[in-house]
Order: sequence, then structure tokens, then C-alpha cells
Amino acid sequence: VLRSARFEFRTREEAVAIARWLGALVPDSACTEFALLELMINAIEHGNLEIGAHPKSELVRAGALDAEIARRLAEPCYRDRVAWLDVLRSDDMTAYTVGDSGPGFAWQTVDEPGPDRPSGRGLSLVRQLSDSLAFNPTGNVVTVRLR
Amino acid sequence: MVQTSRSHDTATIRISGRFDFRCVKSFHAALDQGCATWVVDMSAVEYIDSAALGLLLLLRERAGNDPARVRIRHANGQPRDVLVMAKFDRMFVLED
Repeated sequence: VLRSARFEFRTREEAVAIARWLGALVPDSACTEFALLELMINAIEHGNLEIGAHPKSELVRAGALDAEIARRLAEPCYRDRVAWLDVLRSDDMTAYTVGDSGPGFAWQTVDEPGPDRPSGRGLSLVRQLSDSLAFNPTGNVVTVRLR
Repeated sequence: MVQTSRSHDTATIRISGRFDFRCVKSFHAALDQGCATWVVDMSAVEYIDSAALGLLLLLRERAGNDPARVRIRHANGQPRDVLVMAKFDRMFVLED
């Protein structure tokens, strides 16, 4: 029985592999996979690579997000940053904690984006799916509990 | 995978497998073709992420934010759950 584990990741592709593997361990695989991937991709894009919410929307609109992520992953100031995921499982609930090496963000003041913003929905969707979601004060570590 | 076909003034974007951040490039390429009305056929989509939601909003924007010009067809399972949770059923026509 897997009770606890730690994963480290740098790229979105690594995050997909981890989320799919962990999703397969629980009955509601799609929900777990979705929640973990959203949080892990946030940790990479907004955390480690420090791409702000509004710049991300502009990059999405211009079709330039992939190139910007690749560019930042190779930059000396970002390339050694690692994000991590801790898993703590009990019989009926699992706590997943995602952390990154970025400066954090003001999670207290994040709004749900309007229809004109093509990004920024992940967090509010994860909140709806989870039993609880909580950030550390800095905003670079988030814990979500899922059944 | 993203495939586009066209009949008269309607373009159909058919996505299969995972509709996620890895579809961004091909979805953008489909949008660049321009069209009067769009159908997004999601019958073969098994999973969507928030990046896919962003792409659907870009399509809506490209169609002048006119709900009559974009239809999302055959979204079921996780994709439909996520669309409804994100309130996309209020911004798009979701067809069975």
C-alpha cells in the first residue's frame, strides 16, 4: 500500500506523467488527474518560471506560451528550479501538496477571470473539485485534499 | 490530436484523446483559417484541462463572441463536467 511519496518535476510533460500515474490509484481518476495537473502546471509556469497571470493570457492569445516556457526553462535564473509534489494517503482521503521554487503570489486576491481571459481558471476549478485547498502564507506551497 | 474539416461556411474542429496544453499549436493553426461558424466535435475527447478552456475562449473571441457561431458538440464524461464547472454552458451552445 502506498501511503506517502515525493515527486520532483520541472516540465509540464513530467507533470502529466506523475498526475496520470497517481490518478490511476484512485476511483475518480479524472478528477485527481485534473486537480494535480492544474496545480503542478501552475507551479511550473507561475511559480518556477514566474510567468504572471496577465502575461500568460497574452502569451496564450499569441500562441507563444510554449516558446516562452522553453526559453525560461533554459535560462540560468530558472533552469535549476525544481517543483515537488508530496502525497499522503489515508483510507478515504489523500492530501497532495505542491510546492515550487518561485517567490509565491497573493492567493488571497485572485479573482475568477472573465470570458475575455483565456487563462486563470485552473485554480478555481480545483477548488470546486476538492474537499479543501489551502496555500502557505507565501503562496508557493498549496495543499489539496481529494477523495 | 486536432483535425479540421470544412463544409461551406462551417469549419469542424475534431479533437481526439487529450485536449490539453499540447494541442495549443494545432488548435491555433485551425483558428487561423477563419470561418463563419465553427463546430468543435469533442466526441473522441477523453480529457480536457484548463488550457483547452482557454483555446475554446480564443475560438469564441475569433467568432466575434457570437454564441450562434460556435457550437461544442458531443462533450461527455470529464470534458463535459469541466465545461459545466467552468460555466462554459452559459457561454457556448453545448450540443449532444
